Amino acid sequence: MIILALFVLIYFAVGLSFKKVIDWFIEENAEGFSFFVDSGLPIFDFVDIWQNLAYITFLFKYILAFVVIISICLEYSNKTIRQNFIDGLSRTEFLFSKVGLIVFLTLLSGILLTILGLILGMLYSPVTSFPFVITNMEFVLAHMLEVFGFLSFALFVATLIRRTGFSIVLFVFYATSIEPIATGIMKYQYELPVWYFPITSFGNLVRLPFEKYIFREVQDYVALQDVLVASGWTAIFLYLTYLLIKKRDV
Amino acid sequence: MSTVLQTNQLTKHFGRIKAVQELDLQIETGQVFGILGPNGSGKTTTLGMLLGVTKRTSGTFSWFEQGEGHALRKRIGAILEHPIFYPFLNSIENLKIAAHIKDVQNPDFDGLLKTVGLYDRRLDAFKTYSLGMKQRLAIATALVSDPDILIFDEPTNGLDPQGIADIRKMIVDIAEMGKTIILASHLLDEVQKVCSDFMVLKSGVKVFQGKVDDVLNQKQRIEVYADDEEALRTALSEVNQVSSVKFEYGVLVAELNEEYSARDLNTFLYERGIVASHLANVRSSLEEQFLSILDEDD
Ligand SMILES: Nc1ncnc2c1ncn2[C@@H]1O[C@H](COP(=O)(O)OP(=O)(O)OP(=O)(O)O)[C@@H](O)[C@H]1O
Ligand SMILES: [Mg+2]
Repeated sequence: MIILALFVLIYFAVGLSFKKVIDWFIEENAEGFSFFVDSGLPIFDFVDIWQNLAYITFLFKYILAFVVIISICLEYSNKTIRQNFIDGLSRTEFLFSKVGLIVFLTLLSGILLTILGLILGMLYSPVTSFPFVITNMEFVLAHMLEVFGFLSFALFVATLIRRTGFSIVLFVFYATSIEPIATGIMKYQYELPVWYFPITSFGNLVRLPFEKYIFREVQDYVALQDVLVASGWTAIFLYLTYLLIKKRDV
Repeated sequence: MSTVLQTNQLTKHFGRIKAVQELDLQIETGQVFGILGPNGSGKTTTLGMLLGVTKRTSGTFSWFEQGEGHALRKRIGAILEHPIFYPFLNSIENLKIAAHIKDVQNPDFDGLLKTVGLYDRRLDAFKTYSLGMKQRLAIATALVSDPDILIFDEPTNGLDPQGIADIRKMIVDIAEMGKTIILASHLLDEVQKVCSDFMVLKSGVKVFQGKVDDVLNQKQRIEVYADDEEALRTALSEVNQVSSVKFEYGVLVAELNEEYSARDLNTFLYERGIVASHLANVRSSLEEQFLSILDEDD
């Protein structure tokens, strides 16, 4: 496996800003927290906190996805992927190195989420006994699957397009516009099921939790079907990436 | 001698473009093999297939008589077209990546960089290098695994005369270390100066293969001139060993068969009472051969 030093550098640059964003995020939430304290909403209470945080932090996926896209596209635009193959790296090894990168980023986001949850929970949750702390921590795992699937999609788009700017635009446009609009029309106009769309399925892993403080009618567990669909898409994206890397000239 | 590379009907089409067509090739240990051909004749495409970056359309090839597995490329040092490196990393870091891919134990980066004359700039980022420095780093990288075979694709492209001479000297030095070299070039005199064997590609088809020396020595070319040009022409036409006579740049150029020398010709003319005002032995250049090979096939 070779995660090239360049991307380690870029990674650290981005990683640091990622932490900064989290700091900022914590601050923001600390402010928000006083409001919630007043209204008595237990966002950072253990048990609930995992689903809440896992949902809130979903935005960071985009930063990680950009890291993945930049990492792939730079290999193509600098042609270093070509020289790596000439030097004797196999195409599968190259894919593994990039999958290694997304595994690493996934673990990182899982760890950060856990630490963040523990800190916020310890600070603000009325109950801090161990069983309560670990209840619902499967949302951390679900969040990691979500990130992993999302990054696999980024990997696929970047490998397909090979140009940084265009990949990022297409990726963001698809994830934030094309699919949500398409599924929105299908769901509300024609009442068709949309659970099988990739971005939707990744998003479904951790459902929007906050409504439950109003309606109390939210899926507050990780559903097996969501896990299966998301895993399926992840496998499909990784396999398509494999085919692209395997079959194309570089 | 053992076979380093064997190709069998190797073919690559880019859509309608037939970049390489049914290439059969065999390269033996210790050869310095030139792939000669004009721009777009398929040199880089051929090397790209052999190095696992360009997917072939059909045919097979085999390195070291062991097939085409990626691990075999770890025993090859190769540069295709331009030097390619991570722009923000310096020489040492770039060499480390290549050494890592090639599983090199205890690489001597400093020694390599001294060999190619890049030691002083080793800690500067690759993107700050001049083209000549980039080529030097590329050669250092090709040498990093102490490979048995090196592949250069137009290594002197874009360099100034001094740079060209330096790089060629490096290639000759490497050849003298007993390594097999494959050199693609559209520069004839590069192949002539560096290679032992060569083939000529034209529109993706191999139109010639042979030893550089054989081709050079096949025919001698003599420039000759006398005041009485008519008498000279007549005399030349009577000599069996003269295979052709052409008028070029104010002199007659005669091609002689191997056993007949310029001295014999001079004696003959003298006996016929013709005094040559100009007589010179010009080595038949590969360029003429190259052009005639390309012409022949039209
Ligand atoms: N990626 C590609 N897509 C389409 N056509 C290509 C591609 N690469 C090369 N070709 C075509 O294949 C032919 C051979 O190109 P190649 O680069 O192998 O030539 P070359 O002998 O290396 O030329 P040069 O001396 O200019 O480097 C050319 O007609 C070229 O246009
Ligand atoms: Mg070329």
